[in-house]
Amino acid sequence: MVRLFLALVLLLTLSTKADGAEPKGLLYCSESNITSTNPQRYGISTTASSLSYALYDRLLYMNPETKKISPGIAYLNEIKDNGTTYIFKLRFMGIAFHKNKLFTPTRLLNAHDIAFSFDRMINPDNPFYRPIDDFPFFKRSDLANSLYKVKALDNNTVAFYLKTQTNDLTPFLASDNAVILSLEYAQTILKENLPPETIDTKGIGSGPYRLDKYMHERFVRLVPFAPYHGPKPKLPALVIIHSNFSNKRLTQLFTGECHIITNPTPGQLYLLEKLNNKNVKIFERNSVIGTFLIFNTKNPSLDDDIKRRTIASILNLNEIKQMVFFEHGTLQSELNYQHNTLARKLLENYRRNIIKNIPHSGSLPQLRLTTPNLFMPLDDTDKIKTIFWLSKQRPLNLYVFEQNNLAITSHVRIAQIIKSNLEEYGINVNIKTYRTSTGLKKMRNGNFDMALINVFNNYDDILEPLVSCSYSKNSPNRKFFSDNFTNWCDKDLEDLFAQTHKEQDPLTEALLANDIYNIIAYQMPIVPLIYSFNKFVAVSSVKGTQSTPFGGMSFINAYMEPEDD
Amino acid sequence: MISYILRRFMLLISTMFVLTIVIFWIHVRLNPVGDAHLLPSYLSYTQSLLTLNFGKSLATGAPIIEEMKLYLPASLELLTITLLLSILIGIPLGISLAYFHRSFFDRSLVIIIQICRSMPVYWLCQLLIVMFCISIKIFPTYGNLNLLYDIENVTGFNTIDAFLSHDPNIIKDMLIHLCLPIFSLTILPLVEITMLSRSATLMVLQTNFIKAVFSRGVSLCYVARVHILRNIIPAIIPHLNILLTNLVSSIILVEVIFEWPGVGLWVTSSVTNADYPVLESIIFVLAATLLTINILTEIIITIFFPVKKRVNIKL
Repeated sequence: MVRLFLALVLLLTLSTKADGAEPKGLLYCSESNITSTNPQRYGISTTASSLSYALYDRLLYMNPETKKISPGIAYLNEIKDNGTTYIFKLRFMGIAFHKNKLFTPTRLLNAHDIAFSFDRMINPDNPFYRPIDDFPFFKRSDLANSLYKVKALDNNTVAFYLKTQTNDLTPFLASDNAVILSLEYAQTILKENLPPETIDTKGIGSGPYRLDKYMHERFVRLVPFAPYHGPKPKLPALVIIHSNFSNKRLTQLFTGECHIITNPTPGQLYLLEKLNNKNVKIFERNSVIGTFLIFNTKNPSLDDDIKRRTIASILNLNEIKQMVFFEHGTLQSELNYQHNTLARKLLENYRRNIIKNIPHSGSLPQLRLTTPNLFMPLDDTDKIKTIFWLSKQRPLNLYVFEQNNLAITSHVRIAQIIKSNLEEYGINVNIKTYRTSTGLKKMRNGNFDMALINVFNNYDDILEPLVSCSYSKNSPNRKFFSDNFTNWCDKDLEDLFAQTHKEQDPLTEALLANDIYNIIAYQMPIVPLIYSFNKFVAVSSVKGTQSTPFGGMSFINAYMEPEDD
Repeated sequence: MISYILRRFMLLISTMFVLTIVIFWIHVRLNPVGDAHLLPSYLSYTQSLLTLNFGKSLATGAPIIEEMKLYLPASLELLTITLLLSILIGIPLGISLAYFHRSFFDRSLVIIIQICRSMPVYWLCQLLIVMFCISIKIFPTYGNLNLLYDIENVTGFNTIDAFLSHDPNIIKDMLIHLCLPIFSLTILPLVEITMLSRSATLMVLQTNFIKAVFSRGVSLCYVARVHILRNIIPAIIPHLNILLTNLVSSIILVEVIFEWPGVGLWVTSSVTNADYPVLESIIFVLAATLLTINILTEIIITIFFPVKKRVNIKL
């Protein structure tokens, strides 16, 4: 019997002689979890960003480098009613939706699809409505409080109605998360009596690739969509894989099981540089992981700005940069205009208005814009007195959390450096490590002194959620580390943030930003320790990929060159 | 005999009752029932469990039973292949070792077996990955099939579906993906079964009827198949229960390390997501399956290998 079974297996294997051909396609391994095929359901995430560009279309387009917004499948036709009604018109008439086993579209994309896509986020009567917590990116925008209706005026025109004037609508519509779904597909789901979640797990879009297979938290396989209205995709298949552990991702890159990996750790980058392997290339993506030390300002040891600034002034950030980030991090003081959209706008303004009016612009000194420093000098007497007082208090508890996806480096090592820095001055620190969920609970209850957190975001938007109280108001559950846990609010700061959202002129915006930085620097509820600009590592045969504005990758023009043996 | 079988079934039912109480207690701790009485809540909860109506996953919103259908076959594949290989290799190896007792072959293999026995499965997996995936690059590190391949889900079992695809590249890829997880899982039950068979065979070889058979010049293969095997199986089967339980816990580790899309990977992601309904369902299904297998093996031994027909072997 056993012999018969073995013979059968051998016969089957040999009779179907393998030609040894490797399957064609690109394997993209990301740390970001794959919880849905719909980017609306994610916060800022490399997966959402990549899925958005592969599967869906957006109304507007954001240039990943300059962050300039331009028309996508629609253009802004009119703003009326004192800036509270935005009218968009479709640019293309022949945009087709994908099909799958459940659904075959009978019509092309129109304004009703656009209205439905946003209506489901704000209208509780929509059968596909979900609570605001289920749309994390939208929730974190000011629009969550302002947008109250989206309506198709005709097949080509859609109107967005806001309660108050805001500058946030067009950036949101150009974001990776503001994708266009199919209303006809939604109606089919209802007609077939399928669960409403189907729209988020078996996504139908109009992007260059269509969904072939999705396995929750594991992978999404996409195949080219021939009737796509833009450039034809060149990859025969694209698989986005969730690979949680950074070491495993690097292994998979070397074994050929991943062609692109995201978020290499500083140690891995150091190793790759040392190896100088010509078969892999490293490139930057448009997002940053900021590592912050946050203070519980309700704690008596940390309840005034002098105490907090004293602690911040003792920290040796260069030591963290060298010892933990192997020089692959950027300190706040080292950030320049390349990292900051506002500074870039100022530079463009400078070039446009000053250089062009001067005949020999080549002789002009280079404008070097830096981000304002967040560390304000402290009076020595105050500092010494505070250090002495702090050294007499009970030890401060420094909380460190497991954050699998974002922990590209060891928080415990950073915590140890902070502890040693503070203990040199006699300030005792206890390091306590918690699981993410337990840690968040403790922080929500204000049951901490200091905490180390990682925040994944665009650099431009990284600080506001951490210090603004209006963000916390939107998120009473505070599920994310990027929420404000400091128990600190400043009315002037809130006003400045509100003004920044409305401001159009870059120079005024820069002045407002400077005021914001000043308040944070003097009050110091958080300390920005170091920024790590996210990177991709790809095998050199992968060509034509492009970073998306929110840290993902666009595969519209991607292809794979045959590898040399 | 019938009264024995009935007693075993009663034991199964009472243990299952305790199991449902424990799972219900966990459920109540996680989802307080409020003013509702515990007994009706328990009855309705147990009814749901027994009718496999596990509810929906908190993470995906999909029915748990549907997700189970996706993940369970992948683990069952590993379990079945591992057990088959362990038995098919372990028993003949154990008989050979006993026959060549105290020879160089016996002594050297016993040393190797003792080394394998003391090797933790998670460490062995890492070792295999470094050796065969990174250094020699002949095996993949994750999954049960290259994700660029698409095979139709006919039976839910990747191994069978790959053969049904009739694509030689897919079959080859599937077999390559099986190698390392199966190897790392098989080692421990294989050495255990080998040692059990060896000890049992040593006892059987001392019996007079075996000596008589050998004295008639019958070949070892014949004696092993007809006389030894029949007598050592009742001694091995009771130990399979423990092996199976250990194997289930090893499978969870191996699935996580090789990212094998089975119950182990599902359990770990459910723990991370605090998806308690999924965890309760998995605990119930695994515990109920192991309990049933335990009782069934006892009944099978009693029916097919009654005590009066057995050689008395105590391992």
